[in-house]
This record gives sequence, structure tokens and C-alpha cells, in this order.
Amino acid sequence: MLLGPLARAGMAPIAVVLVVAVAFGAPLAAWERRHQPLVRPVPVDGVFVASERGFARRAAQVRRWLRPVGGGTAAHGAVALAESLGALAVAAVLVELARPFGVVGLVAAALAWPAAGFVLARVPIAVVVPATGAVVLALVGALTSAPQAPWTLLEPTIAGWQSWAPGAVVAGMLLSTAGLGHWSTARSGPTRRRLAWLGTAIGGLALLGVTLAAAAAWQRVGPDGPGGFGVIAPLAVAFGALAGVAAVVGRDADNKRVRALEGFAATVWWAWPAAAAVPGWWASLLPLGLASVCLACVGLVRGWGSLWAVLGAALAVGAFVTGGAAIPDDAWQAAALAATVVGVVWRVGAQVVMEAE
Amino acid sequence: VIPFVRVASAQAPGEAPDPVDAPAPDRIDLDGAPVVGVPGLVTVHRDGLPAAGVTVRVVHRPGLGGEREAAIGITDGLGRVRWTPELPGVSALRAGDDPLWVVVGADSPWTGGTIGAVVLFVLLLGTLWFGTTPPPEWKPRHAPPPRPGD
Repeated sequence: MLLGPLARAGMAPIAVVLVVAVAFGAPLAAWERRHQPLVRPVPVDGVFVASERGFARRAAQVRRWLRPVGGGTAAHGAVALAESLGALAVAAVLVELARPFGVVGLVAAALAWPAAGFVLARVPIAVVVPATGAVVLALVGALTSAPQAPWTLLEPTIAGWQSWAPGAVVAGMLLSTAGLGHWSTARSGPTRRRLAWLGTAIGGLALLGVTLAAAAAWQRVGPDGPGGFGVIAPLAVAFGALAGVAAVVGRDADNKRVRALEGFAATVWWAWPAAAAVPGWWASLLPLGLASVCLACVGLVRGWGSLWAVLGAALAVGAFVTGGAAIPDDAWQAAALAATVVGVVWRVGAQVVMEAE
Repeated sequence: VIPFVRVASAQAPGEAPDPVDAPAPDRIDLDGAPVVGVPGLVTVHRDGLPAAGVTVRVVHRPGLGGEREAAIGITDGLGRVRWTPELPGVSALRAGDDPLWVVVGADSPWTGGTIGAVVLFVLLLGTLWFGTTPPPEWKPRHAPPPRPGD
């Protein structure tokens, strides 16, 4: 999953992922998170509202602006779509990681969701533990892989950028999943407004460490080596995926079991019936979904934030256009992709209707 | 000096060559670890003897994006050719079928990859600092009236 882009363009895709994550992914996660109480009011009691600068005033304005167009449908839709896309994306990554281990690996990946839903997500720092483990393992792997400059695999090149840039943009917007996850029940605390940046930084450090470990291992064993990934880097990636699961499940204090069930279903869906539709999902549905979330956020933020959300939407649409997405030739793959669209629309619509009532 | 030329034979396709007639694989030797800008000698042996008149080529970043192939030169009567590496990183020296994989050292540790890694690391450290720094404390313009009993 990582060696392919590194072999094609070196450090360039990683740089695009991290820059997009910091510049667009984290603000997007922060906006979505900040407006989540609009659709899921929590007990205020002087804590939640008081620490947000002007939150109550802005919330009232947003409600007033959105009343003519459906009474907060955009806010409901942004939150529901972000939840659905997050679960589907993390499930797709889990399946990609687990597929080499056969049926046992896929079953374990699916069972990670209920495990996170019933165990990890009960703890406020459930995301911190595996995420920190991923960072530590990745950095240890990078340092112990006999780093020997120059690391050939890291040399950046922009030749053939069309093959990796769309995926890098999408991955950058998704790297803030930990921020979107709101770190479980961490609703209070001085830094919660900036949790998206904190989650992005932790995820970025893990990604950078895994990249360095992979490059150092490749340099050591050469192109004919057994994959050149060592042992520590896959463990770090698995920890990172577990952190993503915990973040998606624990993104809100309520309905954790429902989100765990949704993630379980998404993993089973990608593992068997819709296995052939995963590339189409990455190339077409996910960029369009991220663009929709950005556009939904345009109405929720003001000033430069709106312009930034428009730019994020344009970036996601650009990833869709240059990614070469097309209707799959295989009938079953096309049907699975269409069924995924139907599922997401139904899920978002149902949540909007239920919560808008 | 006549360079080695592979000619068609009566051998059937797929048939193993006669071990007596089979040429020994080429062997490529370096006089030291290659470093960018530092001239060195590449020696080619064939059948245990120095091979003269053999074209030696180098492939930088073999199999990777930005792969570049260049001719080093033709070996002299002692099977040697002078090589001054121009690009750092994993490279493949080719004088026959079997390449020799070498790691060309850089004249400076600050290659594009290491500079990029450092810049991204600094960017992430800054993001980590921003994410862990409490935002400025907000005080309401009009303080709420004190509750009874406060």
C-alpha cells in the first residue's frame, strides 16, 4: 500500500498527504466537529458553550441561516456524511491490511469494530493509546532499520503525478479521522478546539515514521528483498488502523454501538461482496463525498473559512477528475459501487430525518 | 579484442545449455564504495579473465520513478573502465545479464528525500504544538449574574 507510491514518486506523495491534511483535513474536521452540537445538543451546563468563543451566538446564526433551506439539513448532512465516509474509509483500509492474512485476517478486522465499540471507545483516551503506539513503533522502526543515507526510495519526483496525486489528496483529507473522531468523550478540556490538528499531527508522525522505516528497510535489502518492510512498520500501521476504528466509533458519546455495527458491516461489505469495488470507491465516491462535506461546511463557517471550504471542495473534485474514475466494466463491480452509493445516501438521509425531527 | 557476442546455436528452446560450453557469468568489481563525484574503477571479468571491450552501463533508481540509464564506457584491455557517479542512491551496474547492485553514497547527506523528511517533520511538530496549545481564554463580554448562594 505504501511502497507503490514511494516507488513511483518517492517522498512527493507523502508530502502532498501531510500538507493537505494540515491545510484542509484538519480545518474540515474542526468545522464539522464544532457544529456537531447543532444536530446533537449536549448538556451545556456552562462547560461546552463557555469554552467555545462565541459558539452560542454562531450556533443561533447558523440555525437562522439554515432555516429557509430545511432547518439545519446541511449541518445534519455534513455530520452524517462525515461519519459514513469515515467508517467506510477505515473499513477499506482494514480490509486492505488484513487481506494478505486470508479469511482469519478479514474476520479479525471485522471484529475489531465491536471490540472498539464495546471496549476501546468506553475510554476517553482510547484513540491515544494505539495512535501513540503507532508513532513510537514507526519511529523506532525508522531508527533501527539501519538508516543509510541516501534513502533512494525517498527521492521525490513529480513524473507521472496523475497516478498518485488524487489518492494523496484524498488520504490527506482523511488523515484527520482521529480529529473527526473527537477523541471519544473528550468533549471538555482546554485543547479540544484543536483536537483535529493534534490528531493530524499524531497521524502524520506515524505516517512519516512508517515511510522512513520502509525506505530504510528497502535501502538495506534492495529491490530484490522480501518486501523490504520489516516487522515493526506493519505493526505500526495496524495500530494506526485500530486508532482509526476507535476514533470513528467513539466520535460521539451516543450511538457507539450503532457506529460499531456500521463499521462491522462496512468491513464485511468490502471484504467479500464488494471487494472488486474498492478501487472505484477510492477513486470516485470518496472524493465526491469529501467534496460534499466541504460544500456542506461552506454554509456553516464564515469569512475565510467559507473560501477555504470551497477550495477544499475544489481540491476533492480535482482528485475525482484526475483520478480517472469511471463506471467499472464489470457488472458486479458496478452494481456493488452503486449499492454503496445507495447505502450511504440512505444512511445519511435516515440520520438527517431522524435528528432533524 | 573481440567482445563477447551471443550467437544463435542449435540448442533447442528450453533446453539447458551444455555446462562445459556455458559461459561463466560476468563479474563486476569496484575498487571501493562509490560516492558521487569521486572517480573509481569498474572491472569486468568474464570466464575468470578481464573482459575487454565490454560496454558498462549504470541504471540509477532501477525500477523506481525517475529511473535513469547511462553508459559508463567500454572496458580497456584490463577489463577496467573509469566511473564517476553522478547520482546517489541504489544503482545497478550492467555489463551482461546479471547486474551488480550498488549504493552510491551522496557527497552530502542533504538529498531531496532527507530535506523533505526534515521539512515535513518540522511541519508536524508545529502542528503538534498548535494542537496541544490551549486556545486563548475567552471571557464573556457581559459576565452572567452571580447565582444565589455564590
